[in-house]
Amino acid sequence: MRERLATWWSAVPCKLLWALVAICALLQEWYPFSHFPMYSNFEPYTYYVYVADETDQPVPLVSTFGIRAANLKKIYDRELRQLAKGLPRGMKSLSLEQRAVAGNYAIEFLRANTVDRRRTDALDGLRFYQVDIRMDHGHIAKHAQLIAEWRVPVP
Amino acid sequence: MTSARTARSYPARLGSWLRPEPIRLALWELLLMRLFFAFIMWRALPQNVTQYRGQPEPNGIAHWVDLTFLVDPGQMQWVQWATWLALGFYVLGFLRVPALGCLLAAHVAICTFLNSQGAIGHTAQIVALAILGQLLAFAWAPIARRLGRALPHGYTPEQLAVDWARQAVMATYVISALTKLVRSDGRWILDAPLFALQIVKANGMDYYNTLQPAADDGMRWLAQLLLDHPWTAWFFIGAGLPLELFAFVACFNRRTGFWIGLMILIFHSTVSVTMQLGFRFNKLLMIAFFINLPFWIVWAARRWTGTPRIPACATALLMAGLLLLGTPAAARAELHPATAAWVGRKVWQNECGGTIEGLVSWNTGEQFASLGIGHFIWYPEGTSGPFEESFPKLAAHLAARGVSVPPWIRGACPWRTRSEFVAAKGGPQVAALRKLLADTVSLQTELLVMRMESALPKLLTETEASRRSVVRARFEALRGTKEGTFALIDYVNFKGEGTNPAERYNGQGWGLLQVLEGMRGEPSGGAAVGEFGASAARVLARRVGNAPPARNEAKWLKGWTARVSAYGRGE
Repeated sequence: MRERLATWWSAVPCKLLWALVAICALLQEWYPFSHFPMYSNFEPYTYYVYVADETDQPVPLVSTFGIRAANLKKIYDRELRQLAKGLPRGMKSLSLEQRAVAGNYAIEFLRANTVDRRRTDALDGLRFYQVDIRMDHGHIAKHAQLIAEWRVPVP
Repeated sequence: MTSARTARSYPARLGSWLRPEPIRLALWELLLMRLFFAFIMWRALPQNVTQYRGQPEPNGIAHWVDLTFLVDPGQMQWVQWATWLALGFYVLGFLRVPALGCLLAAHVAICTFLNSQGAIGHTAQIVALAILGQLLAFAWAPIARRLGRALPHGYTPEQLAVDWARQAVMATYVISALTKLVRSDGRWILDAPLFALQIVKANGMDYYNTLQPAADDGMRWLAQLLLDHPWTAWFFIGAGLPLELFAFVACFNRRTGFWIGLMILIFHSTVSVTMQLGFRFNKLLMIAFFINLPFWIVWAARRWTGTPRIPACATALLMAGLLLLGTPAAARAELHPATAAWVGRKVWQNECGGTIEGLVSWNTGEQFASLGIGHFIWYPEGTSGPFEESFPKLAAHLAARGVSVPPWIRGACPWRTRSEFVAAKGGPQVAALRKLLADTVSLQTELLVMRMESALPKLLTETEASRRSVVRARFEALRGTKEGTFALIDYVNFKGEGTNPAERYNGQGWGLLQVLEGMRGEPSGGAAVGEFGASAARVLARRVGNAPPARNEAKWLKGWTARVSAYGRGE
């Protein structure tokens, strides 16, 4: 049996490839290993996020905060997952107030890690929006809602 | 009878085509791949993480090691020097285990730190795994020799390193396909029409990254097409799953490597267009390790000429020559698209605050409209000023690039004064102009780059013969870095080339030429950019001192100085 197994193993092509596949599956997200979960499951609902200034003008994320919208969404998502732990419907159970907690965390992250301090210091506030994308009678509908807001404290 | 024989021969031919065969790369192929992979490793290494404060959500080795030392520019400088040294050793073929170990350690440390900010990115894992594959091969080769064991297929260590890098690259696709199957409960292809929502999401997010117009809903039509005709999604999107799942076949032989590599390259390119996702390292690795075009050129040349050796040497020499000598020339000829986009955004930010509103303006006290990301100057009919009119050149450039430019935009500025412009601000002409400018940001950047590139001969013509080599050296030093390129473009756009005799106060100019002449020494890299900014500040202060008092230019000096002083800080 051992001999047959050894013979079979010696005939397997790309051994390193399969070893790396196994390690990636085991570790999931452990740089440089990953199970690459992007776009692995499609649902009829998704969303993204953006930020605007106090006058509701969108703020360019890369030049102001050095972060892409996809990564800002991941930071917001992580907080939502924390808040949704133990809830029966997971993140879908979260109220707007609970989402505001995650939104405020994301705003704080942006303010702490800005790349353009002069520009962010000039802002009188930041608004965090979530844009829901869902199917509506065979068409794609988008709806933006204000999740959280930060304003410069009035002295 | 014939059909039975054909039916038997097809599986046999397919089996032969797919048969695993050792890929014995020639020395010249290995050299080209080594150079190409060194380039990929260099590009995949993030250069700057100084904006972050800590590692709030540790990932990988960050669970055990505090990587926040990377935010210190001094420490980061050491890391960069070490990686440059390691890349040098790798390219020259010396000390490859420590060199690759150093490169892998630097790459993993920086990317792990970035992935410890709360969001996991997946851009560069594929490069790290390819480095790991090569490192394992070069580490295993001497151990195998000591143990008296031959390397697989009788490979040389370098051939084995490429083979294991190829396996590492394709492992990322196989695991990605398996994850899709598991997480979608096997429904991934069936659910593919819902990919439409992801297209809308990706394009929406891309818009808010930079606020580049037209990005947001540009692919909405495609998303709706996938929903209206689900078979298109099953066929075009669904095809990605088997392609990933069976990507390991690309490691079997040169034929499968070429075709699967090409299909993956096309797949990534399609996704790049529809979802604004780069996949640049995936594409580069496909070109380097799988498609391997130089080999197929040599192979075709041998078949056509019937000469087994000469074309290989000639083609290899030609390729190496093009790679080694052509790269600097190509780099001089045009900016890397990402650098050009970065420069465009920076200029837009400097001139218009990065807003669409700011693309059409008329500053108080000026006799011309300022348009586009570079505030191109547009004079009304019969007016000319001390500044070079640049907007007609932009209009001509846009028209030459196939943009539909209305005839009135190709003439003189239709508003005679600022007050006329302000009155017309809500009107259809301003709206049309703003839309045209918002839709052509990349073409405006292109013109700015061309203007910067064409400035050097003019500058040298205006310079004393004994000073030309100094001015050229300073210009080249600035053009050698991203920040320096931006400084050149921004300053030419801001204050001109300095070659127009009309742009003088008391006989002294304030353009690019005067700034280059005023620089001290011949610094390089970041120091050149810093000295350029300092020289520009001095030249602008001199201009304000020379300016007619009625212009009261002192009121602008603070803002001007802040702008040019920021060059050296990479802002």
